[in-house]
Amino acid sequence: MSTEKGKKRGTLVYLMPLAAALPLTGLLAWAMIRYSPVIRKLIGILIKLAVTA
Amino acid sequence: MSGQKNPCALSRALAWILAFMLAGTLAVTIMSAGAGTALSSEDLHVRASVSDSVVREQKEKIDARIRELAEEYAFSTDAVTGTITEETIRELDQEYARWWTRIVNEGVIGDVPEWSSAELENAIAENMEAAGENAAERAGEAAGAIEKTIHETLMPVRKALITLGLKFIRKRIDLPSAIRLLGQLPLAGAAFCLALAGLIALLTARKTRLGLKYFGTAAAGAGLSVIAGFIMVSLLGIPKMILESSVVLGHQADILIRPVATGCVLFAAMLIAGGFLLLYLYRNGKPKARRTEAAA
Repeated sequence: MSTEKGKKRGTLVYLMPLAAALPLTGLLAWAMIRYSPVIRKLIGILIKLAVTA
Repeated sequence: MSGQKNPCALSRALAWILAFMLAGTLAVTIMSAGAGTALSSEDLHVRASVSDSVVREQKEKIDARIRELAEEYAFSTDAVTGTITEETIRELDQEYARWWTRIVNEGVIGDVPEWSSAELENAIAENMEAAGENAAERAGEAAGAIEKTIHETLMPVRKALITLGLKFIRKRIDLPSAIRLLGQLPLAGAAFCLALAGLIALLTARKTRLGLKYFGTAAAGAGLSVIAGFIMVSLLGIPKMILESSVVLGHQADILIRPVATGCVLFAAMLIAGGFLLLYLYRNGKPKARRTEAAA
């Protein structure tokens, strides 16, 4: 019983990198979903302003 | 009995927090180092500027403008296009790349690269179909327009905007020292990562094998974050937007970004592989007590 539990817990360790990547990736994903149109518009304006026709 | 105690719950919780922090810091450090290299590496900028395909496109654009002006000012194009060779364009490209990297690396607005249009003016004047009183004046006008096109093609970003922006920033901060500080940020990030790794090692010092779990998680987590970050940034479609504004600049940006992005993604892949290897070693390596028992 305890060996089964130990095996499960041991396998779960492989999922920890996903959990470690989640805070930063989640923040980026949230920023992308929330501000993507604004960021795109801002970058578009900057490029238009900076690049000579 | 191993004779070694497992770290207490608080130590393990702290080690997890530190491992998550290490993953985030490592990912941010890698991404900022990549962005810094793309923005300031003189070698990369020169390589992107003097690339054969870019120079060919620039030459075609300049030649097209010369043909337009030839119709307007009535001169034969062959001799005029011959004065602006790919070699001339390549040299000017290099000067522009160095001018830009000096701004980014030292915060110094050096002299904007110049190109004398005297030879071009002579070539236009000699090849004008109707040489009248104001032929020299018209040749000068046409040469001026071609010179403007050359500078705009070779440096598609408005120089006035760069100079204005730099003047604005310089009024507020000491730019050279700020740039030096920014250049050291990846190093500071790496130092912070080492400090975090050291703290994890301290928390798990009694159980070295346990440390593998935290280091593996941090390394693979950082790699996954970097790759996810790259995917999300690429979804913004910035290179496409640049390409729509200027084909030459788009290709230059592509040549510039590709090796940096490839390097970062490969490094991230190595981190993921290394991280999972550490986790495998943690999972399958036998604790010291069991090894001693097995040997007995």
